[in-house]
Amino acid sequence: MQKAAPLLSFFLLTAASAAVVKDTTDPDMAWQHYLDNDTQIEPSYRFPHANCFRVAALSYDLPHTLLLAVARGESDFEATARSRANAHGVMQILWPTTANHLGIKRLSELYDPCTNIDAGARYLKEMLTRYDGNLHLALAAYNYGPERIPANGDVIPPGAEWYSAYIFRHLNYVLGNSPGNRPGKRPAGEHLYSQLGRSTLLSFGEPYRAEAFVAKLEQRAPELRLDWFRKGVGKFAVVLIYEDREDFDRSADLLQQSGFRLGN
Amino acid sequence: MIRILGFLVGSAASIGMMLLILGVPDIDLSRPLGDNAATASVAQTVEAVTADLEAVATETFEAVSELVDDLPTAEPPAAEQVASNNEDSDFPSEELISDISQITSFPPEPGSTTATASAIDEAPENDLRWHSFWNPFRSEIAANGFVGQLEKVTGLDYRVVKIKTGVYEVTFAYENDTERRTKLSQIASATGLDLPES
Repeated sequence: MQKAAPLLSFFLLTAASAAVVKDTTDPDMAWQHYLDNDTQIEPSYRFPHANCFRVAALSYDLPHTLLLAVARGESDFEATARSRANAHGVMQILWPTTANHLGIKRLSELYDPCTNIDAGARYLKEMLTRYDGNLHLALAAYNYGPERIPANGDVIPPGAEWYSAYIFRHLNYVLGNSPGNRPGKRPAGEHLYSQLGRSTLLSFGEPYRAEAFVAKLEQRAPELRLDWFRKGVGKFAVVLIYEDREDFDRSADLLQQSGFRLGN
Repeated sequence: MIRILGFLVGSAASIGMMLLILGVPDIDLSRPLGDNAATASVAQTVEAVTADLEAVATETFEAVSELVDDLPTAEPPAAEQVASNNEDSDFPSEELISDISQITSFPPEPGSTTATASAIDEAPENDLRWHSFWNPFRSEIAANGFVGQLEKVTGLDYRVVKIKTGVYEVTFAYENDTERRTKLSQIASATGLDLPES
């Protein structure tokens, strides 16, 4: 019975995740607010390939944190990431169509982080120009392709709308506004993102379930650092983030108290 | 057949050359052939050309003779003497010659930040050297965009050097290592870039 209690709690938790109302914040307005006010904010961590991001941001006159948010949402900065849709690298550039369009002729080039980040930034700038500076539409087109997003933004596919909000969530993490990104032991700016540990708790087939699951767990144990990522088509992984072994053990205890037990 | 053709072509070419040298005789075609006046005109032209050629030959001979008379009879001066004489003469020194080569390598057009690698190599402006501080760019647009933003935030001057198609380096000028390090530090603090040796 003692063992069954956490399992029952976990079941209730995952079931409840389906019932959580989706965030109704208008992503269009949220992005506009960001462009107007927050583009100069320095990122909360020193993220991987930091120089490549800074140079790409300068080259295409884009906010540095925007590129970091896209990269975190697309690959979590993984240079060798590859999706089932045949998107590759840090910024998940689609091969061969988008890559060729950006002047990349060899697939292996997409696995060079700086080349990939430069290509992603260039494509994003192209989209931003196409949609007259509307970042919400530009991101929708980055994900769905410009031919599926009308210039006036009248009818955006729900998936593209979702993607814009998804990247905005990662932007909040990059800016240090996310619940999963609380100040650590070191002063802000000195954190190395790559030094953080990650442990995948479970995966969902729908993003809103992953989001709701994270929200519920955070409600029960606010000290936890949780996040979720799109991991290919129809797969959304909930991830525990920790700084070191001590932090991991503490998080594991908190998870167990909340009805979720980590496997070995 | 080919020999005959060759003969005809050669003859035509010879006649053409002669006409070119001597000038086309002023022949009045309205007059019948064998007119004495026309024959006289050709003869006068030939005489005039012959006289001109003799005059030119005489003048040339006299000028050459004068030059031969003026030639020094002593041993030729040593190489060092030639060099030192050049300083006093009207001929440009080596430095001036290199300046001329700089002028012939044209500066980039106004508004364009692109220069070619060869132009930079050939144009050492007061011992200025160029430091490339970031990986080459794949596109000129990206390199120029980078330079534009860098100039805005650092106030320094940069050049985009086209190494070859698809390879563009961003460089800045420096005179000595201290200046190079100072500029690297300026760039690093203004952009947040983590540059080596800054």
